[in-house]
Amino acid sequence: MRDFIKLPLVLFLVALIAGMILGVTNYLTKEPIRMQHEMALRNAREELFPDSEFITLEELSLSEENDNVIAVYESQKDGILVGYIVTMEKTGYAGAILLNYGITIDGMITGVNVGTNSETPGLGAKASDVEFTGQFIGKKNVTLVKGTAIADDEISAITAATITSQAVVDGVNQAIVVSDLVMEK
Amino acid sequence: MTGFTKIVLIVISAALVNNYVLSRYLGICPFLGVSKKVETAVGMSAAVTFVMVMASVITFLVQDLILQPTWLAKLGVENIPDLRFLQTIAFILVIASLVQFVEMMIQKTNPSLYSALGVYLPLITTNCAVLGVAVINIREGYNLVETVANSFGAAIGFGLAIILFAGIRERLEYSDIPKPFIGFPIALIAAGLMSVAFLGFNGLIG
Amino acid sequence: MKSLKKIFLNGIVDENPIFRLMLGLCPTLAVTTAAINGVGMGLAATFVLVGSNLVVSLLKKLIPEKIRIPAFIVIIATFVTVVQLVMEATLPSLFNALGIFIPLIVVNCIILSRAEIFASKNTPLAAVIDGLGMGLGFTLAITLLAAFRELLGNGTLFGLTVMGSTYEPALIFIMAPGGFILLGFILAFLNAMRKEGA
Repeated sequence: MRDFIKLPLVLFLVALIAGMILGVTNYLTKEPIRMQHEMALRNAREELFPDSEFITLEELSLSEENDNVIAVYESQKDGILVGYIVTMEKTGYAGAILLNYGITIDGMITGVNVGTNSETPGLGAKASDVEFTGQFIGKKNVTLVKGTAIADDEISAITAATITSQAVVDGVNQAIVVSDLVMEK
Repeated sequence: MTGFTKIVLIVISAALVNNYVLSRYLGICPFLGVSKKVETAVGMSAAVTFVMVMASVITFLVQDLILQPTWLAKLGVENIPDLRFLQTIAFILVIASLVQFVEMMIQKTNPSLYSALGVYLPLITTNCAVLGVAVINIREGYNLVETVANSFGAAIGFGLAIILFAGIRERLEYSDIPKPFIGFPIALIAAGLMSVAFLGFNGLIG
Repeated sequence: MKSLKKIFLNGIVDENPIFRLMLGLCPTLAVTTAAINGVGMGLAATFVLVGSNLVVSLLKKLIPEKIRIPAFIVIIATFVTVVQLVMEATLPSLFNALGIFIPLIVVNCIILSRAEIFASKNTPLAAVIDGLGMGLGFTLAITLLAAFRELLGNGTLFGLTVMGSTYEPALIFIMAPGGFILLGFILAFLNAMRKEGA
């Protein structure tokens, strides 16, 4: 009978102390974590629309197929609407990839910023490299090709990382559609 | 795409395309440890399947109801507590308790299986595939049905990998292998070749 | 009772968790695609191992035998969560690179087995030294494997180009099969060396 009470009690105590320690750690790390995310967003914005102001669009009301869109920001220079940053999650090879796309009001891509992801170094992780993302700048709707990109709207996939490359391409095309939808409103 | 198609794709993806052992590198310890005989491999996969699916369901509920209780908003609660930092502790405790429970059940209903699995049964607790699939379900944002589909697919994939591998290892016992390679080295290389075969599934789902 | 020096070296050579005990293989194969990730994972696991060994050893008289495994698990999970939170706050790129394998440190068989086999039966100081030794052995082993995979599969080491532009990387080494096969060969090599020296 004593065991019946003592055992769960000790376990409960251990779990309680553990929980308290974690609560404190969580409290201490909350702010630094939030700042990391903010810094990443700021860097993305600078890269896609340098020296611009950004307004977060609140009521998005997008259809279900755009469920993966996290946020849309209006990009303005001197008070004039220049384009949008569409932030979304696409499933890559090893989980979700955070992607920020810069789209002008003419539907042209200003850049692709690859955020948090767990893609394999040397393969999918190469999507963050400028060799890959640089291809998108100045293009409109794009298609993925393996090997060298010839036509104006082609993007060359990363060797042996087609899934990751396709996710980024699908995402940018979706971003163009979304920015169109938002502009109409 | 329809809901049903999505479910089927999740199962196939978890079992073949992103096989939990051969491509995600989860569940390696039991994969190498329990795969010497096809019989034990079959018994182990059955136990793992049960634990994996049940653990995924329970951890999903824990995440949804306790760790990130968004349902409280419907009751009008303003400041919803965010206990996501307790995920690791909560999940592993669920899995450990579940394995204890399964152990007791097998001991009572099938004592021969119990002694065959031996120490490997409690080791399911440390099977990274079980905790892995529970965490992946949350990260992928699956709902309850998709969670069950994913864990079931993962378990099938694990079973497939471990049983095929046991078959290969039973054959290896009779082969002439250079001395340094006997045991784990040749097993790892064989696993690598299996992994190459599974790479072929990569383009299966669009 | 072994000397502290022996306990430390034990984890690195004689009972190296990966090369001898064959424990902790999941992260070994998964995060060794880049040397820096190997180091990161190794150090994170070492922190957890040392911490949990210390706490388990300090509490060994207070924890009833029957619930020791769940108690160990709670202790280990606490340290893992601390590592998770601190890493997310301070080293976001490593945090993303290691992905789900950070929470998976809690089921790294090395940590639970050292708690059970060593920490619960030895003094806190010995437990800490054992944790350091095993942790370092683990870190060295996975960094070695990661270095090979990164070098052969990407031509770089710790992100720095080593192999020169004429080297065509053998991508297979970074992909799943490469990990299995390379580890198999390394183990065979070590077996061969051991037999000759024995």
